[in-house]
Amino acid sequence: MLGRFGAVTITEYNGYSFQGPEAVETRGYKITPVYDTARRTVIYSQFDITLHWYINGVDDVSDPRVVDMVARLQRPPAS
Amino acid sequence: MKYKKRGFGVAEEVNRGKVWDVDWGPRVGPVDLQPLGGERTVACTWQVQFRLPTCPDAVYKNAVREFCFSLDYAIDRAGLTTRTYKAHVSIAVTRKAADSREIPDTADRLLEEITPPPLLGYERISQDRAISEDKSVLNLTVVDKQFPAFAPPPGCVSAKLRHSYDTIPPGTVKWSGTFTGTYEVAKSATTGADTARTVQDFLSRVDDRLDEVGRMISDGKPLGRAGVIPTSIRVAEPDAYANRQIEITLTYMIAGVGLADILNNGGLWKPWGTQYNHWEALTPTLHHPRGEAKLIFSAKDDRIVDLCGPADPKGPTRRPGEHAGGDFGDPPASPASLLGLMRKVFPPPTPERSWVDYQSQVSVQADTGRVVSKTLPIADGLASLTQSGGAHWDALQGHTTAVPGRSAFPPLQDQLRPSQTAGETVVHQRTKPTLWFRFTGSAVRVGFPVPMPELVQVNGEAVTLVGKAAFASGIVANVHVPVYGARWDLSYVATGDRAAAGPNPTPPNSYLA
Repeated sequence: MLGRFGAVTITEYNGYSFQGPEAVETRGYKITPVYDTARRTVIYSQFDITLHWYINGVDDVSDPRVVDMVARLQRPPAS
Repeated sequence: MKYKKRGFGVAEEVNRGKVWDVDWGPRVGPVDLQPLGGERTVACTWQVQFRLPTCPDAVYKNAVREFCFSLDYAIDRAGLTTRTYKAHVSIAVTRKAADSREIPDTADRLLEEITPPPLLGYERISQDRAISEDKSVLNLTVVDKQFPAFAPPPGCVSAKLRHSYDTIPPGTVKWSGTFTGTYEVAKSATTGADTARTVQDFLSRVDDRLDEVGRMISDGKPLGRAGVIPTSIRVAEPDAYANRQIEITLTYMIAGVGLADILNNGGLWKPWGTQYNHWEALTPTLHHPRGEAKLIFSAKDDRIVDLCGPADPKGPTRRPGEHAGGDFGDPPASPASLLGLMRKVFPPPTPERSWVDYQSQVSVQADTGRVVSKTLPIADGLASLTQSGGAHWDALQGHTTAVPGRSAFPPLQDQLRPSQTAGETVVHQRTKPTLWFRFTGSAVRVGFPVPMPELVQVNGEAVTLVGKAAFASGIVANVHVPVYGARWDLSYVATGDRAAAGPNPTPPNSYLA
């Protein structure tokens, strides 16, 4: 079952669209079961995802595209 | 947040539609930026975390995420059990939207559901709860302790009843028994009926014990309830600021019994029945999960403070149960206003209610009008003196019958005998009897001077002020009005005919004008 998770990636977060699945590399994908304190059941699974991608055609990290991206990725998700 | 599934069948979106993070997520991690390619390209690395139940029928909102509890049992040296229940419950909750400052849900709403019902025969010592900062976790600790013997009276949180005996000196056959009841009434039980019920419970315990006392044998007979003499009752409110407390002390006296009787039949250690159900039914708030105040934390009482996003239309979050500053009440009262306050609390008394103390005594002294004389020795010189002064010393001769037979002063019988021998005691009725009255006393009066009293009559007989009337008056203290004091010492004489038949007028009587 875990093998099926390898192709999962994030396509959009908080209005920021990653440039298609080809441009985004999922470098880390970890699913951890979290037990209740009695250790009798799993109350949820914790998903940790690490993405890696490139932004081309920007002068430096102060480029407005980069600034906007950072702002969106450092906020709670908009519904 | 959207993520593309490629064979992962949980969801395509989180915090949209049906699937929501269950623990205030997703939580974002650092964004790592690395300029590349002559500064025309930026390599980005970013982490994100979210928490979801992975079952197909998972619930994401308005649901209990976790509920666990533990139980500790402690047994003391008397064998009584104290049970400590520790529980925590958490809910599935996350932010409504990135710019929303509202709290969608709070775990405090689950308090009633996770609070254990009371144990019969136990009292709930404490119920402590704590809500986490994100309001998703509620921790609860409930301590129940087994009653040592008896439940308190219904409506009471706690009760103590002390029963003791002390000897009354001298000797060890007279005893003073004391019941002291101390009760703390539940805050909800603040009516007069609750207080009356508590006092009634105290008296019923006393009655029960005194039944036992009455069976003690004194002088070969049962003491009986009539042999138990109440000597004092004290009722007190120990602390008016605290929860309502009642202290009742009743003392009684018994006589003719010894220590063994007291120990065997004095009622000490006599148990009584108790109904825990009755107590719990009439003291409901003791076991209410939210106590007497029944505080509920509402999701509306909290707002998410965030420097980003639109300004919060409701303003900064106010901590629950607090008020805006600036209102510190009235400034401290000045001495002058304190005096005014005193006058308001204690208005000056009316003339009728102004007397604090009034003591008066009337003593009567009877002047019988009689003199005691001794006959002189028979000698030549003295005999001649007697003979020559006979008319003087015999001034009342012939008046001995001036006092009638049924008077308070019966007539002298044959006191003046015709032949007297030397050295004899002789009583002469010199004048008619007179009654003197000494009227003394003192008084204290608030706000009004003390007038000099006047003795008008004694038992219907008029009296007349004579001699030097002593009356001293002055201000003896000051509260917010002067306090006057006075003393008097007055002499009166009855002007009626004491020789007349009838009893002497004797105080006390309604002699004060």
